[in-house]
Amino acid sequence: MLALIILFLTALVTLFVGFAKKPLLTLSLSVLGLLGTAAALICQWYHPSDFLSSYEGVNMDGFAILFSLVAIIFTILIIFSGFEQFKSRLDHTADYIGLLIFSLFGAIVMVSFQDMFMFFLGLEILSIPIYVMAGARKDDPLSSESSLKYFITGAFATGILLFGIAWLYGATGTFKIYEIQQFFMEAEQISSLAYVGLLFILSAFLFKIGAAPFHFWSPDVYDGAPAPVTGFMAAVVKLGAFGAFIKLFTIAFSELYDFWMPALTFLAILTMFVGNLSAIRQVRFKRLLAYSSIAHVGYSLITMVVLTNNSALNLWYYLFSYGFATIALITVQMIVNDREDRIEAFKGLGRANPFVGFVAVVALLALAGVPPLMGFFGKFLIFADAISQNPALIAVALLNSGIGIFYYLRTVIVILQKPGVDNEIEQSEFKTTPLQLIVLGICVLAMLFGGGLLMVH
Amino acid sequence: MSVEQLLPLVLLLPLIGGFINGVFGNKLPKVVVGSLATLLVAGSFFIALSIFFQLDQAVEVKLFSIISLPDLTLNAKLLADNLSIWMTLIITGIGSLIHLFSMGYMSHDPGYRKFFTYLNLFIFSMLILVLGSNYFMLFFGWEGVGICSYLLIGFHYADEQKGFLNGIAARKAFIMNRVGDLGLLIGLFLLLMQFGTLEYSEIAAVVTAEDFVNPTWMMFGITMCLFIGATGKSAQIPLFTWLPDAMAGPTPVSALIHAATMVTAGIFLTVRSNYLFELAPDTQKVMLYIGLATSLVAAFIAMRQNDIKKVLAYSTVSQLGLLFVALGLGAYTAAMFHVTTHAFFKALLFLGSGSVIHAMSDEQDIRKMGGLKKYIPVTHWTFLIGTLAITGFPLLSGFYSKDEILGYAFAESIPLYLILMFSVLLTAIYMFRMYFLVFHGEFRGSDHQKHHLHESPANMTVPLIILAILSVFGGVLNLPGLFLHDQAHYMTHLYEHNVAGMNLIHMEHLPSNTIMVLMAVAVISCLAVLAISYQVYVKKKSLPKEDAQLTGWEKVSANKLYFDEIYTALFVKPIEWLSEKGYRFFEIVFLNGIVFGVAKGFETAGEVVKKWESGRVNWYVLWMVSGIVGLIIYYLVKF
Amino acid sequence: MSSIEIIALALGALTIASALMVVLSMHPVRSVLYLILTFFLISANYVLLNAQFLAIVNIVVYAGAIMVLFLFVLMLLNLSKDNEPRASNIMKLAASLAAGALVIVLVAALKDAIYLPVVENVQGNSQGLVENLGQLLFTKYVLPFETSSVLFIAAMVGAVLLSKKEKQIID
Repeated sequence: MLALIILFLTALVTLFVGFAKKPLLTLSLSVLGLLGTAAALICQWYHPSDFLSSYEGVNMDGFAILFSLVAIIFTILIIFSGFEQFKSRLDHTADYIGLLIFSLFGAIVMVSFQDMFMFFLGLEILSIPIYVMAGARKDDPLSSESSLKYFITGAFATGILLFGIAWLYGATGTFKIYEIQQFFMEAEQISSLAYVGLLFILSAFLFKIGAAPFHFWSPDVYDGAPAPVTGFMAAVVKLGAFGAFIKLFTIAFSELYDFWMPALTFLAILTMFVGNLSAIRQVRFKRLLAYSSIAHVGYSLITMVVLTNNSALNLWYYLFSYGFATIALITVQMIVNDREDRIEAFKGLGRANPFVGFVAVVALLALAGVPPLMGFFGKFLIFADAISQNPALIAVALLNSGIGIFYYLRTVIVILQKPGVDNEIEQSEFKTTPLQLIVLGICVLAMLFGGGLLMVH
Repeated sequence: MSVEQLLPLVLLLPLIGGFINGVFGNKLPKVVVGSLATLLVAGSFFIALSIFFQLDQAVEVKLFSIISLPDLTLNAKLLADNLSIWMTLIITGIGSLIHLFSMGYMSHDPGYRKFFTYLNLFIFSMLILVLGSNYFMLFFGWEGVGICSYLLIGFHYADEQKGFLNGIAARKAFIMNRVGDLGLLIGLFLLLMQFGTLEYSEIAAVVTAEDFVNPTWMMFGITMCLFIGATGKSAQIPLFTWLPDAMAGPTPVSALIHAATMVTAGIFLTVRSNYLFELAPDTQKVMLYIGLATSLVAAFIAMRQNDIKKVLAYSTVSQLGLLFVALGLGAYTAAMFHVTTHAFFKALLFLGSGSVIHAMSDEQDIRKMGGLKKYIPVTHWTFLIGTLAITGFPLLSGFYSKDEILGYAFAESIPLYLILMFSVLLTAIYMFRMYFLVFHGEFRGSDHQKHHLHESPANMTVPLIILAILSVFGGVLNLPGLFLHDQAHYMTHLYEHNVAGMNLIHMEHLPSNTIMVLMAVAVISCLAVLAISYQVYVKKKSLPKEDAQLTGWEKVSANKLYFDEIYTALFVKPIEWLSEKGYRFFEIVFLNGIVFGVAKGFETAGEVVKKWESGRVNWYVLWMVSGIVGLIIYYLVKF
Repeated sequence: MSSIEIIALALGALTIASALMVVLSMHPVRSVLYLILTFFLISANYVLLNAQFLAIVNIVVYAGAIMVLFLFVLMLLNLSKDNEPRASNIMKLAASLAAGALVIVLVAALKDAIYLPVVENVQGNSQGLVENLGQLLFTKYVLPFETSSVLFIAAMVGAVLLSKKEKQIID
């Protein structure tokens, strides 16, 4: 609770400080606030107190704290790396940062909710700032278009979600997730209302995380949105949505596992294939990232398909590793800063700026799951956990990560190539800011040594 | 110091070298970079040597734990037993010689520092692969060497003319290796599923226990997956074609990675897992036949190659096939013995070819060489020794190790022995053909090349000489029982002593008479080929056809002696034809048709999926609705 | 069937019909007018469900404020039949097919759903009145209530950000 209050105040302060038109001040205050939020969460972890943590509707348990901390880290990294872009519009610097913090607020609510009210509110708080931020580059029609697309499809998904929640309420008579679980345990016969409600809620989740066949918005929106927002969507929004997803389905719908598991298995496989196969032919970098993110959603869904005691942690770790790699790549994309966002524009990056090139290669390899990078451990944990229950699924997943290598490697090769000699592609200058270098440094350290995190347990 | 203290050092030294050269390399003079890299690897070798002499029982050293979850524990642990230390000695020993050689060979290359960084990292990864105490560590090293190999094959990716091709070769190697790696990874997961652990010692303990019930299908699955992994790295059918292409890398790399060490990782994996393979006779059968087929096919192809490195590459593939035949027969020690001697003479041959290429101003076509023996005598003599060793010339190292495998094949079945013998014969033919074409006859290159012909500097010839000595005397490591009864089968005893599972495997030794006969056959055939080749290539100065037409020389020769035509018609022609066809079939039909066809299929599928994205928001919503309808239909069907 | 049920069914049918007209009518202004009608009908449904406060609020906020704003915007922009982009015939067909399929499967899935036993109101008819609602909002549901204010602020900031005129970008 305390963390949520600090976070809300941070967002407000950021908005008001914005009037001073001093970007650095805004930045430092907002980051300070985020760190304060993290500190409050850490205190909560070591000294759990009911007064500060649980309330009607939310509960800051260990699960919520872990997910929230990662979301905060990612948000800070994205604010750092996107600061240059935010700063270029002095009037709105604070608005951008404030909106991101609001969205983070939603993400934290989404991982700590205890009833459907808070869940729905969290989802909306998470989404609405992103609808706006996707269209933040008003001079770019692509950005506006992506914002509108995201909004329309998102509104549709929200409608479906509400519909589903209503039916679920009709079947169980309660909004609280533990009471719903209780109901399913005790009920002699479960109404079809509950099943349909579950499927509708599932659809809305699949939309939010971008799983096939609800993924169509994501390439367009990732492509059109400003780069920091793309990064935020890939890292934080996905984290929040997945956190809520696994929470809802492992608590409220745990009794119906046999019902939703086969459907989810099929969708996970479909998602992996759609993501990986579409990614092969992409020529624009952010679209590539979008499809790669779809593929990664497919892998992450495996944790839900095979529910074990480790599922939540595995999912957390996977999203953690995925987030670092994506943020690093988005930052690199901002450094390359090609108007048309062609992968070709990365040519020569490895020579022009070896550090940035190195980080990009590491991040791509981490996404591909090459040991000993963090991404490999994420995949390994998931696959190792699932192999005994569903070997066929893992075989498919491994096949898919094989396909994935193809396009990651292609990009790696482009980065390592000599700068192009043809005049058609004007060479980017690869200008970096100190903040972006910090972000890249943190990301690369995390990717290289993130495997060590597993030793803590 | 004790083994526990020394073991991490073996790993650490190359890593330090890679780190220093990678980070500070640009600020250090070339000599320092090269000698640092070389000395550190040599240091590793001597430490490994001291471990080898004081090692009695297998020793495990835990470095740190990678994952420790309630039901899954993975440790970064090192294991020193005679097998792993043996491999370490080969890797660091030959590795340091090749480092030394590279100091001369790469001296004019702008990527000198990068090269040594990669080489050191390769040694490090390879050591992790062999020294790890579980399959997870092995997999780490496996991937590591894969990446280093990828980087080194494409080392000259910026080359004006061939850079693009080099990049493609590197990618081909990487992708084909990934197919194998996938198999290995699945194998790992299956092992985890079956045994709940990836530690060699624990799995061996379970498997070799008295009351262990063999889950036949599971064992078959596990070993097949491991074997698929091995086919990728060790270049067996159907994943072998990357290895010849990998010759795009600098020659020392071909010697170290693509002949002596990395490609034997598959053999090492199989020997390490001997207790698993012993439980899956079907896999052993598959291994046997795949190895046999690879050995033959590669030998056929090698007959027609004119690129000096390509011949050696196909010969490596063929030798690896031979090794898998040995493994399929359960002759693990024999395989390791041949791995060792093969490492000696193949590294020698590759370095020798490097020296030749160096002398020829980067010419690799043997049709343009000839008569080099008087210009580069040291290279010539060492190359001759390597050639004799690989063809199984009596009393050289290859003679013993090859004969041992042939002996086991004979014990298994006579047709198998005959086929294998045929493959060995082919080896002798193409090796002598190459040797004579390169070093004898007239010089056929340009005047410019002739002018520049020179013997390589000492830091290149010294490794050649050392390797030549090893190639001559390497055979004493595992002498057959025929000679020196007390010292015979040294390696066999070594492995039975403390390598898990090896003490349970007993190969019947053939009776002395049979061995004598087999040896006699081998010696006679080797000498016969030598004689015929000498006759053909030196006395009759036979040349590959295209050049013959240019000089108009072959017509005269054919008219003079009828023998050549019969020989060609009966022997060379069909084999050339087969080799050509085999090359065509495997390279074009199989690889381009099937293996890349699959990749193409994925790309096309990608295209179709991409078309869904029409960019219209209406359609997106429509798809979402269809998704929901689909989900509800799923519900209706289920209830 | 009790009279309440008959009224509920009739209202429901009307609501759906009017909502359909929102989508089907060609002229935007007409669409908005149908939307207002729909809101009124929904409010009637609320009254039937004993949620009087909600019914009033719905009319005041949606039908009253938001829809009038919509109308203004439409008239100011002078949107008419001609310049409105039309969906292609394939799109129309696909949309009707998908919507039809959704209805059919939903009906099939829900046709013999089991309902919870109806709980009798403890507070009688006064449950949906503003006093009780206020009590609940400020005691039991205070957190969701407050959190929704965060949502509104975020939405407000977003709206300002989107609608504010862009100054020339400083490069």
